[in-house]
Formats: sequence, structure tokens, C-alpha cells
Amino acid sequence: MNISIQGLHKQYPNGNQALKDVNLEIKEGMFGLLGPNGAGKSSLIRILVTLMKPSSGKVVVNGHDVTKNRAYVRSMLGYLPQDFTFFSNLKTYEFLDYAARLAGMNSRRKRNEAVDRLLEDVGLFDVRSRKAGKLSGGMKRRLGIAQALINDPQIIIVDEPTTGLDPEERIRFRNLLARLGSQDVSIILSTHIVADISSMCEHMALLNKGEIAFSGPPDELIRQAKGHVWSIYAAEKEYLEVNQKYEVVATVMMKEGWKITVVADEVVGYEAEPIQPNLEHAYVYFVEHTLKKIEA
Amino acid sequence: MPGTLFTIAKYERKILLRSWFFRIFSALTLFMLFVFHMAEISEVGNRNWIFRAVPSNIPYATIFILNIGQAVIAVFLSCEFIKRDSKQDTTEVFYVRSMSNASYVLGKFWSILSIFLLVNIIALLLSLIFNALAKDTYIDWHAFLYYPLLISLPTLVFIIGLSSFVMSIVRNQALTFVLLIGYILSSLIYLKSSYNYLFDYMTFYLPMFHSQITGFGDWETIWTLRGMYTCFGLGFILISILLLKRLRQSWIHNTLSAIFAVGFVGAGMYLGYLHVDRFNTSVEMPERMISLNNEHLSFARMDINDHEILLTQGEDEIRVEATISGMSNSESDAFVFTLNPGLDVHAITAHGQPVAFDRKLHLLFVKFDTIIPAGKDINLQVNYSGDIDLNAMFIDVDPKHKFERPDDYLFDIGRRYAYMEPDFLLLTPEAQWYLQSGVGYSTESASWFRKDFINYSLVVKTLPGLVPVSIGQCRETSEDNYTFDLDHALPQLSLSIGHYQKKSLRVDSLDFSVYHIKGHDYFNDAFADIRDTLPSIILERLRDFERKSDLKYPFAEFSIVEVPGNFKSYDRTWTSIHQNNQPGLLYFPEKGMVSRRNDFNGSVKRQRNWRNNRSKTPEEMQIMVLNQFLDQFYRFKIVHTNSTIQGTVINETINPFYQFVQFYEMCNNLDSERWPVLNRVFESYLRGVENEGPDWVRRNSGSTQNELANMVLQEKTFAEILNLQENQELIDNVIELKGETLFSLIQAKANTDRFREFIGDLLVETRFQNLPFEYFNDRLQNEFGVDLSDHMNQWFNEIQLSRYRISTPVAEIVFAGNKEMVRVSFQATNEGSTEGVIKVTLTPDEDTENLLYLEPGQTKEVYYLTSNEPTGIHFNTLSSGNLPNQIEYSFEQVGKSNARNAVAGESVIAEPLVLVNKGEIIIDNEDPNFEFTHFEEVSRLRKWLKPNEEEGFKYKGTRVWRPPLNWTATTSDEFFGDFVRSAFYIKAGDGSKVASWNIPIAEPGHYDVYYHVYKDESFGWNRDTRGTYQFTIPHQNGTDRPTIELSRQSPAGWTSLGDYTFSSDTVTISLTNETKLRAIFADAIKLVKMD
Repeated sequence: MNISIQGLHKQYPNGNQALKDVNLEIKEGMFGLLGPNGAGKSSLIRILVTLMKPSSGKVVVNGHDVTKNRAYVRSMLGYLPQDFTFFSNLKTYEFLDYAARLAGMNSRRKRNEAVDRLLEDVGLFDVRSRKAGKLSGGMKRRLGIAQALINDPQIIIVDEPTTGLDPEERIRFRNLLARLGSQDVSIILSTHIVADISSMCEHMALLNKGEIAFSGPPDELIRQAKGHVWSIYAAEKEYLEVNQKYEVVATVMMKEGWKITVVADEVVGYEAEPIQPNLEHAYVYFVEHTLKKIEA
Repeated sequence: MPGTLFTIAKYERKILLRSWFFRIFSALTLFMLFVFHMAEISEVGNRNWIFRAVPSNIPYATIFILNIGQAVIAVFLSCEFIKRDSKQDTTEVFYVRSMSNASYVLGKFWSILSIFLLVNIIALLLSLIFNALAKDTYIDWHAFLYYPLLISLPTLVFIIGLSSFVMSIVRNQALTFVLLIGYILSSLIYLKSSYNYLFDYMTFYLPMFHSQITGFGDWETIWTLRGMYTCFGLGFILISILLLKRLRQSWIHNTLSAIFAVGFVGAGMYLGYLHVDRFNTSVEMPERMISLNNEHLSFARMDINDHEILLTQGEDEIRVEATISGMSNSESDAFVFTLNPGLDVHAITAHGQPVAFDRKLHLLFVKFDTIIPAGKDINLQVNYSGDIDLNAMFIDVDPKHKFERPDDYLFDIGRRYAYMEPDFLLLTPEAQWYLQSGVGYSTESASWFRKDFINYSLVVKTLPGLVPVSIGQCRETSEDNYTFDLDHALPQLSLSIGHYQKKSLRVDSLDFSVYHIKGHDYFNDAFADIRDTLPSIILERLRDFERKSDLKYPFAEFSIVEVPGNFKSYDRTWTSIHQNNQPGLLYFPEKGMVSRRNDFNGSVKRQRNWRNNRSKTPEEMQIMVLNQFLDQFYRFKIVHTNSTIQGTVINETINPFYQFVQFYEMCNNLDSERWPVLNRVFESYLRGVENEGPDWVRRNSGSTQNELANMVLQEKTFAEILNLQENQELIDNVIELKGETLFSLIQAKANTDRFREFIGDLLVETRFQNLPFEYFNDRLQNEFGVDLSDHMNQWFNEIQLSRYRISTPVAEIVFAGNKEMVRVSFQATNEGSTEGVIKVTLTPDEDTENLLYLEPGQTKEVYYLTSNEPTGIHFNTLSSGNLPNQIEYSFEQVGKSNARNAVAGESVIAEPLVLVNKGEIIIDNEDPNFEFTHFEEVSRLRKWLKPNEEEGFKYKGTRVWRPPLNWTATTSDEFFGDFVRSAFYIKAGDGSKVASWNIPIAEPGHYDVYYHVYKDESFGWNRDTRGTYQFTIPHQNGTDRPTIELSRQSPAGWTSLGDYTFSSDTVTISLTNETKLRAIFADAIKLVKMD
């Protein structure tokens, strides 16, 4: 599986430039798409899932231009949009069956098996006969994931999948995707929750203002932040100063003051020590320091 | 693609089926249909005959009702669908699936269509069950197929397509609703049947009646329009595919969609064009024909004496060899005839020599080489063949009227004027299937219509197995060859051919026959118990009618001939002959479907439900049902009521089955070149004006048609009314009134009981020939010394107004010789400018009618003697300045008089009758001194809906159950009035609406004040009705507010308001609308000077 995004531009009729010369290569496995709100993630995803045409550039999937051969891409696609409401009058299994039939599963027997299996996987088997409109928020989300996974798609694109899920559901979902990611499947995960990517993705891209700001393994992003993440022990009176001077990532209240995690090239005047950055730190460092420096 | 399409359809259908909106619609519709079937079709309900006689009407009605609902509901469901698509995230998960846009949209379209079709199937199953359980009918299986296909399918395809299309463009559900509901309402309320049902997508107006004899009435219109809507619907759906906000997947599907969309929309437009073109032809042809008729009105014509017709029936044509002989009526080398423009003339010969001819639409000009002098014999042989062009029929009837949807039935049965099918043929004179001399209907002059009595001879060669029916005795001379022997000259000829079977009985030298289509003899066993007495009952009814009309039935036979249910004819001004009536025969709709009195078994059952009839024997019941059936041939008018926002509108039409035409119009003709309408007028006199207007008609509409006709005659001359386009609906009544007035006047002047006898003898003498007016007048003069021509010009060209003032009649017991009798006396003055006649009848002895003749300004005292104590007296002032023109008095008590040797009679007295006695001042609502507060109480909506709403007549109906919001003039013989007995009335309110009488006081002093109380019908309905009339009377010592309490027991007429002293020269007494009654009537105030 090879998804090649080449020189992708998207400008909306109102003049808003959503994507600027986006180039990416996406292979099998989990691919994370990270970026702040308005960075262009949704535009990129809508182009990838053939809901929207790029203004220029192209997306090539296994050598097939998506714009020219939508049928090819659509036949191997599973997609879960960010907000998703259901036909409330369809029962859970009917909804999945509908999706399965549209995904090309013509055999009733295989379809039934696949539907049941997926319902088991997402933990909805017990409510298979309940109307979709009567499911809880989390259940609806899981049903959405299930419909995206029906008929074993080669490309799975999920947009903000864990938003609104409780921790248990979030873990269950991550595990589900991770299991799929280990197969010959490309999973593109668009999110602003860094933890989703850090726990699952081998590759990632960071979108900012329509451009690819970073592309590579998450470790590479972390590596770039090394030595730039500090833990400051601040007394009560220093707390506000630190918050004003540095980009604070985390704050923990201690017995005699505060333990504040900040990203900065250096920390002067406070009791500070460098710590091992994680992806979240790296993301903040990258957005707040590296990109600003480049823009400056 | 089909797999995906049906998958989408399957699940979308599930979603729709589970929506409450759709479920409620389906449940309600099916419930309504159940109720409808129970009421109209089941044995426990009405057993409406129209459904059983022609059972295809059962599925028709079902689909008709269902379609009205689904045509609207489909809009909501379609919009809802598209709306869901516009919420992008909802459907994006499906949009990214591999399917073409065509599959997706068509899948959705099929899902909506299929669930509605499912409801159709359930509804039809329901219908089928009721149909199967209904007695005296059968199941027309084909109808269960073609009605959903022709009504539901095109309607649904179109409205779903249109909704999707509009929603795809507008992308706003609310706006789409407004647009589409606006379109639907426009098609139902405004466009209706315009352009021959072009906009009637839901077939609410389009007649889809399917005759069991000839099928659909206008199949070409049906398939064109239904095809057009289907094509447009499919086109819109395909365009919606192209407009779908989803990146296309298959360019092949999209390209095909575009090609087919253009194809379907193009096909729809083409069919629409074909339809409009046909419509334009149907409108233009009559106009062109009338214009030609006007142009050639004075063209030379031939008086035909003999007319032989040899007709050969073809599959879709007739071939005719006609021989006509007669004489020229003026000197000319060319003569004009009419023949249906669908018939092509091939050759004309005279004495074996070819004669030149020319055709202009329906006109045939026969051109001789030499001038033919007037009165010279002409003999022509004409060969022609072809089909009947239906557009050339009833060219005088307003196209709007032709397309009006009658309210008689659930759906419009439609109209067809002639038939030429392989299995059935029906040609009436209106079809102009044989040569007629002169031109047809003209707007220039009524002289185009001259009835001729012609000796016809008819030989018919039919298609194999068919039987022809026409006037006279039919002989089969060889296989499929028939000759009709006609005994005498006839005014017209008609022919029908079909799978006829004849049932007949002979009574007293009269043959009564029924020609029914094979298998339609449902009546066979209906009168099994009175088989022996049946002929005499029928004959007795006929003889009764003869006695009543003083005329004899002129033919040796009377036949009822079954024709398709949609056969239609219209009322005419110049004749009361409907095309249903032919000499000696009547065309009757298939199985008598139009009336439940033709459902003999059902009628027996219905009669049994009446308690009084339960003890009756089967023989008695059958006689009763037979008499009900026969009644329809002796009833002149049919009263149609139509409830509108302004109240009930009454429309009277001539009953096409009324058989009086056989007694006069089919065998006699009072022929006047100058006043052609005289024949119709004479006919209406002979028929006698039925005391029309049952009470409820007057109550609902306020005035009877005759009263309205009288109002028109007060403003326009008879000649003007005949030529005017407005008030056409009253023409019959105007003719009746004028006829009755003219001949009653002659009868009164002749002053003899022999008048009617003389007329009867004269008609027998001139039977089957024209009776020239001049000859008629000479005979009148010789017999009675009355010269009709003296009256004619004024009668026709002047507004003739006799106006009568009649004193309150008195009934008292007197002695006439030795016998105690009741004498009724009254005085009457004719205050009008012309002589006049009043018909006076004492009730209940209504058969004795007295004519009271009054010259202008003349006053007479009249005495009638009767041995039966009368309950009342009825004055009919005919065409006069009196409103209402019929006045009824009831005698509360009959007094005793000492008069001996009382005699009946009338005497002229010098002193004219006065209404107001000395010392009295009366101000009526007709007086200029009466005034009232006026408010514009018309809603904006109504103004918007009907901006050009006509005012109509000044006097409206007295509708106490829904009184007007403004003071409105109305008439009743119970109101006070000199010639016009009227009052103004208004809905009860808060007292803000006031009527005032400004009374001039010539002499200040003390007066008794009275008010003329009218008690409306609400006092009759409800014994507890009571309320107050509140007056304000300013007088010398201030202002009083007297009241009159009204209850069921309180008297009507002059009621005291007390006595007052008035000093001013004008006193204004006012009445408010504040009361607990439903309405207040402002009539008249009387002041009586106290000595």
C-alpha cells in the first residue's frame, strides 16, 4: 500500500488557502496527522476520501490518481468522520449491514459474519437490535468505527476518533486500530490529541497553516525537542513569572511550591533541570519554537 | 449498479417505513379508505350505484383518494431525504463508498416510490376485498392495474422528481416546501383544468372514468399528460443525479444520466406541446366555425324534404351515401350545408351529373353551373366518409364550462359527445354526421336555428356482430344490413351501433324497449313480482303526464338506449332538447350509473330500511322502486348546490332525461324567423313552470333562479339578455318566466277555459311539421280575438314592468245560494307601465289556478269561492317589478260573513289601493331615508384569493345560520314593502352596527311608533330562540331605548315601540345589531299620529 500526496493545494472559493504544497508518502501501518485546529487536516482528509477535489496536485494510491479513479480508492476505503450522526431509524446491525453491502460485501453469509464480528470487536453485539438513535454517545462512536472497518478496508481514515470517548473506550479503540495497523493496511489518524499518535503511530506528519511542518517518525520529533524540555521547581512567588516567561506544558503542585514543565531553549534564573521529552512536549516545542523561528 | 441501487433502496425504504410521518399518513389514508368503502361500497353503507354499475370506479375512487394524499406527502418525504444528505457528515460515510451518484440517487428515488406503491397495493387490496364482497357487481381486474399505473405512478414520479430537483437547486427545505406547496395549491385552486388539465399532475380534475363499453373517454389526453408527467419526473430525477453534491465516480453513469435527462425532459416537453396544440385546436376550431357561420349566415340554403342515408360502419370511420331532395329557399347557384369537418366529401352529383363543391371546415358549399330559382326542386347525392371531429361539437358552449368539474361525484366522469370505436358507435345530430342545410351556431343572429321536419330514411351496414339502434322499426335485410322504417318526418336523426340486446314490451299500441349492451341486463329480475303489472304502471305514468300537460305522446315507441357513462350533452338556449333525447328514444348512461334510483336491488334494500316500508309486500316495494326510476323522466330540472365561502350557490340545469321534449319539441315547432326563441318560450309555457325552488333552495341561496331571472328582467330587455354573455345560467329561467308571462297574458285576455284545449288541437294538427307564427297568430285572432303580434315587439325589446300592490286577503264563510262556502277576497292594483297577469292559487287546492289580468293603473276587487276551506293563498306575479315575485299568505282564521248570494268574480274599482293609511308615516328600508353603518368586512386572504369577486345581485339570500357581517339586502314576502318586500340584515354583534330611519315629521305631535318584525327561520328550529331588538328613539323629552322581545310565541308584523312626542321635523330612529339572536333584520318603521 502506497499513498503518495504530491504538491497538493486547496484553495476555497472564499480565498482561504487550506493546503499549500503538501507532499507526503504514506505506507502501511498507522500514520498520524497532527496539527492545531484550522491547520488543514480536515481538508487533506476530505481530499483523501474523495469528498473534495484538490485545487492542484494529486493523491496517488498504489499508482492510481484518486481524482481520476475514485472508484478504486473508494473500494478500499473505510472512513470515520469527526461528527457523525446516524439514521436513527436503523438498527445497529442493519446500519452495519447497509455499510457492508455498500462496501461491496455481496454475500449475505459473509456479511452477517463480518457484522457480528465487528459488533463483538467494538462491544456492541449486545445492542445489535437497538436502533442507532437510541445508542449512547460512546456506543455511537464505536458503531462509527465499526462501519469504517467493515469489509477489511485497505485504507482507513479516521478523523478525531477518540474525541468524546471515555478512557476505557479510548484504550479499546487504540488497541483495535493497533491490531489493524499491524496488517497490510494504511491507517491515517487525524487528531489533535497527541497521545493518540504517540501510542499508535510509527509515522506522522505535522500540519500547520496548510503546510507540512514535520514529517517522519514521532521519535524524530521527540529527538528534536531533546534538551529543550525543562522541569522548573518554582516557589509560590515565582510561579506567575515562569508562566509569563516560558511555554508551560504541565504544572504540578508540590509541598513547597510548583513543579512546572516548560519548553525552552534554555532556562535562566530558576532551579531547573532538563528532562526526557515525550511527543506532547515535542509537539509543543515544535509548534511554539521551531515553527515560530522559521516564520520569524 | 443495480445491486447498489437496490441496496440503497432497501435500507432507505426501511428508514422511511419507520418514520412516524409516513406511518401516520399511511394509517390515516387507509382508515379513510376503509370508511369510504364502508360508506359507499359495502352492503351496510350507501351502496353508491356509480361504483357497482361500473366496478372499475371502485379502484378508481381508491386511487383517486389516495393520490391526493400521496401527491402532497411525497413532497415532504423527498425534501426530508435531500435534507438529510445536506447534513454532510451523516452521509459522508456512504459518499466515500464505491458507488455511482446515479445508483445513490436512483436508489433513494426508488425507495420513496416503492413505499408509496406499497401503500397503493394495500389500498387496492382493501378495495378488492370490498369489491369482492359487494353484490350486484363484479371485479374489473384490469382497473386494479391501470389506475395505479396511470394515476399514482406518474404523480409520484413527477412530484418526487420535482421535489428532488427543486431541493437540489434551492438547498433549503423550508423554501422548497413553500415553492412546492404553492405549486400544488396553484394547480388545485387556480390552474384547475386549464389548458385541458395540463397542470393537473395529481389527476384531481382529469377525467379518468373508464366506460365498460368504450374505455377511457379521452385516452389521447390521458396518455399524453400522464406520459408528460412521467417523463418530467424521470428527467428531474436524472438532473438531480447531476446536481448531487458528491464527486462523481462513474462518468459513464453521469453521461448517461445527462443524456437521459435531456431525453426525458425533451420528451415531456414534446408531449406537453402535443397536448397544448390539441387544446388550442379544440379552442380555435369552434371559434373558426362560428366565424364562418357568421360570415355565411345569409347564404342560400336548401329546404330539405327527404334525406336517405346509406351508412357503412368501418373500424374507425363511417362511409355514407346520402341522397337529399328538397327545394331552394332563395335564388342562387350555390347552397350551404354543414357536415362534420372530420368527414371528407368525395363526390356530389345531381341527377347523375357531378356538381362542384367547396369545403370550409364544416361548411359544404354545393355549386351549380346555373342559377337555381327559389322554390326549385333540388336532388343531390353526396358521398362522404371519415371520423367525427369532436372539436366541432357544442361550439356554442364556453370552453371553460366544458372543462368545469361537476361536484356530482367524487371524480369527474368526463365528457364525450360522439363515439366511433370498432365496438361502439354513437352519432347524434350534434356530431353533424349527416348533411344539414344552412350554417350552424352563429353569434350574429339567432336566425341560424330553424328546425325542419325531414323524411329520413336510414340503411346501415354494421361491422360483424353489431346491432344498430335508431328511430323507427329496424329490419335486418341481410347479414349486418339493417333498414329503419320511419313513419313520419322528424326534426333530427341519430344512430348508435354496439353489442346491443333488446328487451321490450308492448302496451296499448306503444312499444317500450330497452337496448342494453350485452351483459348489462342487471335489471332483468328487478321487477320479477310485478312482471304482469309492469306495462300498465309504465303506461299509467305516461297517461298521467299526458293529462297533466294536455299533450299526447306522439310516437309509437319509446326506447331507452344504453350509451357510455361519459356521454355528455349541454343545455342550450334555443332548445330544451338534450342530445340524450332523440325522437322516441333516450340515450341513458351505462347501467344508469348516474343515479342510485337505477340500482333497483339497492333501492329495495334502502326502502326497507324505512320503518313505514317494512310491512310492504315485495310487489309494493317493486312498484315504489319502479316509480322512482320513472320519476327521473318527468323531472324538468336538476338542482345542484355548491357551498362556497359566500354561501350556497344553487345551479339548476335541465334534466337530460326529461321527456317533455318528446311531447312538443320532437314533433312540433312554432316557427318564427323574427323571434326564433318563441318556440322555446312556447314550449316552456306548455310545460308549465314547475313550482321550482323547494324551501331549502331559497333559504340557502336567498333567491330562487326564477326570482333572479325576474331581477335581471327588471334591468334588461329579453332581447338583451339572450345576447349577453353574463347571467347565462339564468337564461332558462328568463325564458320560462317570459313564456309563462306572455301566454298567461294571452290566456287571461282570451278569458276562456278553452285556450289550452285549442292549443292542444292545434299541435296535433301541425304535428311533425312547422307551425308558422303567422298561422298561429291568425288562428288565435280567429278563435279569441287576441293578436299576439301586438305584444311581440314590446315583449321582446322593452323592459316590461307591471308592479302589483295587493291588499291583505280575507277569507270568510259566506252563503252562495243555499250552500255555505268560503270566499276569499282581496284587491290588487297594477302600478306598472305595462299590462300584466297574476296567477292566483288557493292552497291546498293547488290545481285550480286563477289568472288575474290587470291593465296599467287598473285596480280590481277579486272574489273566489271555494267549498274547501283554504289554508292560504299564493300570488305569482310572474315577470314583474315585485320582489319576491311570489307572495304567500296564510289564513290564520276564517271569519264569518253575513253575505248571501256571494259570487265569484272580479270587478274594476276606481280607487287605487294604497299602502299607507291616512295619518301614517312608513319608512321602509327601500326608502332613501333609511341608512346604515357600513364596514368593509372582507378578509385580506379572501381579497387576495378573489380580487375580482363580483358583487352579484343587490339582494342576497337570507342565511340565518351564517349571517353577513355587513347590512345586507334580502327579500321575503314576509317583509314589509310596496313592490319590493325586502329588509337589511346583519349578524348579531356588539351594537356598533346601526340601521337608521330618518322620518320626516310633517306635523309635530304625539305618535304611536311601530316596527315591522320579521321572524326568521331560527324561531322554527329552536323553541328556545329568544332575543331583543334594541332601538333608540329621540323625542321631545329626551331619548328612549325601547326594545322588542322576540320569542317563538311573539307575533310578527307591526309591533308597538310605544308612543312619543316629536317636535323636530325629522326624527331618527335607530336599531343596533346588539342581540342574542343570530341576526337582526332592519325592515320598516311606522308612525301613527294620535289625535
